[in-house]
Amino acid sequence: MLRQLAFDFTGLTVPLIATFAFILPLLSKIARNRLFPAIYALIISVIIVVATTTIYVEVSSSGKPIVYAFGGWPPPIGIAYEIDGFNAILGFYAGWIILLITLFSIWYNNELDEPEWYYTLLLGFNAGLLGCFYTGDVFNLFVMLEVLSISIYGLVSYHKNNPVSLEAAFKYAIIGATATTIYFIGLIIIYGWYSSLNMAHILEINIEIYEKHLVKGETGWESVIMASTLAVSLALWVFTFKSGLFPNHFWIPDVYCEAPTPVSALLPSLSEIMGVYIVVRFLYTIFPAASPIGFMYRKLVLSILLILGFIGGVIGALMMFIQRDVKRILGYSSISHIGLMFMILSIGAFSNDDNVLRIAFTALLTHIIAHGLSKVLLFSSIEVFIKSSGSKIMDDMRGVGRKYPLVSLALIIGFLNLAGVIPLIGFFSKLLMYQAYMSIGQVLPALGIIIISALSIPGYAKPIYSIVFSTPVSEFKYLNIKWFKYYLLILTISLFILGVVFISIYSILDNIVYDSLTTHGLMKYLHAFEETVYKLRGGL
Amino acid sequence: MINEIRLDNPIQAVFYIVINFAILLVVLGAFYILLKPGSRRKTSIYLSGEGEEVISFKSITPSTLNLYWFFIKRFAKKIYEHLVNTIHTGNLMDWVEFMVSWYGLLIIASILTTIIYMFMYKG
Repeated sequence: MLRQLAFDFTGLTVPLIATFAFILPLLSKIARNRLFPAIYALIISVIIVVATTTIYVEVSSSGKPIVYAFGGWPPPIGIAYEIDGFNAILGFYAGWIILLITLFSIWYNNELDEPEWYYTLLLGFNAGLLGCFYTGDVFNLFVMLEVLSISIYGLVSYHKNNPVSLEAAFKYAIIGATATTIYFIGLIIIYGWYSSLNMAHILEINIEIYEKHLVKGETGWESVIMASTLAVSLALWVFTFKSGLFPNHFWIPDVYCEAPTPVSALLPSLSEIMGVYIVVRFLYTIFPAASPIGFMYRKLVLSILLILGFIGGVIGALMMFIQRDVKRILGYSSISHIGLMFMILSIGAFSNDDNVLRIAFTALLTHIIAHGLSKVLLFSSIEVFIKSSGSKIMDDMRGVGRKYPLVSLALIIGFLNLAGVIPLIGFFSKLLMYQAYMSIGQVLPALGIIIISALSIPGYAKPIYSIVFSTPVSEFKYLNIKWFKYYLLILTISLFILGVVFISIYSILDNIVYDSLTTHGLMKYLHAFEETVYKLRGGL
Repeated sequence: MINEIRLDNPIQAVFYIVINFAILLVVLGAFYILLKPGSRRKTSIYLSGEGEEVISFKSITPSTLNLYWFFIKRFAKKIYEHLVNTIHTGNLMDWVEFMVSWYGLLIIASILTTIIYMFMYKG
């Protein structure tokens, strides 16, 4: 029964959210209530949580991927969603973050002049995001990426009377649109050679080519090497842009700074994570080591990603220290953390041993969760201070935290989690990253993780000192934050609890990685696809 | 009991160390509260014949803000000059230059791989 429910949710969730998003402006005209779009979005967010949690519970308990073929067309002819442990847990994580962002948006509702458009875009973003996570088709990924991107451009420029906000959105949109077009060119190359756009089917062809080349020693595979490496190159550029890896990170500070604060929270916790996820999918599922790109290119590119991750980590950490705008600090902090994520996902450059991948990707998943929760908590608490002081500049916010002890505590815990302090969950993700590299004897990347963490500490100390511990220089408006303080409290406690029960979380994440990103996981992914094709073509 | 703790597992080791430190903190805290004297004895400061202004915090200790600016202006000045004037200039064209370089590097990597493959497996 749970399997059937999860299967139905897989097919229904994304189209339903998109439909709900498009009818919202019409319903708002009928309802004529400012709070209606917010409540409407909240109900849909709860539905998303139920759907993503059901899918995650089913996939993780059965260890078997779900394949949903739209319209009953057997893949690769039709579009299929394929959910293994890796995207199931990311979908589950995304579902809960979406709920948190929606709650934050409700608190932010008074700042929204036309809430129906804000929530339409937010729901559009949710549909695009879950589509990107769940899809098993590289072309459908392009479509969902467009849905997500257009929604996010609209959300960033939401305060349309602010010219700086429009400029930030314009810069992001121009380069973002170029990026998605480049991905489309990559898809043409993939389709031209593989005659397929289904991820599992491309994986199947890749393994076949690899076996022919390696085991049977057949030659003449230049064209597939050229096609696959070129397609992966184009895709990598696009998704390193979406995730904000150095040097594709320039859009981040401006966009974070000028977007409505709930949208600023949504970018590092969801939108950029989608980019990281797709890079992992491309380099570890669709084009693993046993594929045409396994010949030199994959190792080379993963090594470059490791170096870029380190540079991004260092630049983000250093730039944080000289910022005056508190939202920009969080922007540079994201650049630094995305750098760390890329450093750990590049471990395939040194080893593709299943045991090493298990530690590395458990570290990656832990870091995604720790970083995402921290960013939501920090943007939420900072918005209280921004509203109270009327400024985003830390000099004007000096001592505002003294008026709100609970919010100050949330701010401090959020930053300590990012810095990786024991016993918060952020510590364990960095420890695992370090452990993964040390387990294969790679001291330099392990040292790089420590250097980035150490360099970022002054950057985190600065807002804590200015906002909480400085002597107030002016009078601040007192806000009655009502239910929002409980929201902040729950988030703060969750960072503690996740750290304290990390031993259990570790084994859950480790099993998920084993069932999805190791050789055993890839075979399961492939087998689920083949089984679906067989069934839909009339087999038993 | 100590033999059961697997110190070769870093996660478990950290967990147990944190628990132990937390217990230690609680015990020490309890001792402090129990043994805390009711009144405090005040003694005059021995200054080797100097006046009290020698150790006045206001006169000799730089403020946190000054320490911060010292770090930025002296120690990290060159790093930040490079970061702000070369990388984070805020100019869209500079961004594009960096981003296109990364794009070019990826394309070169794929062309290079194909050429090397062709040389290695010729015929």
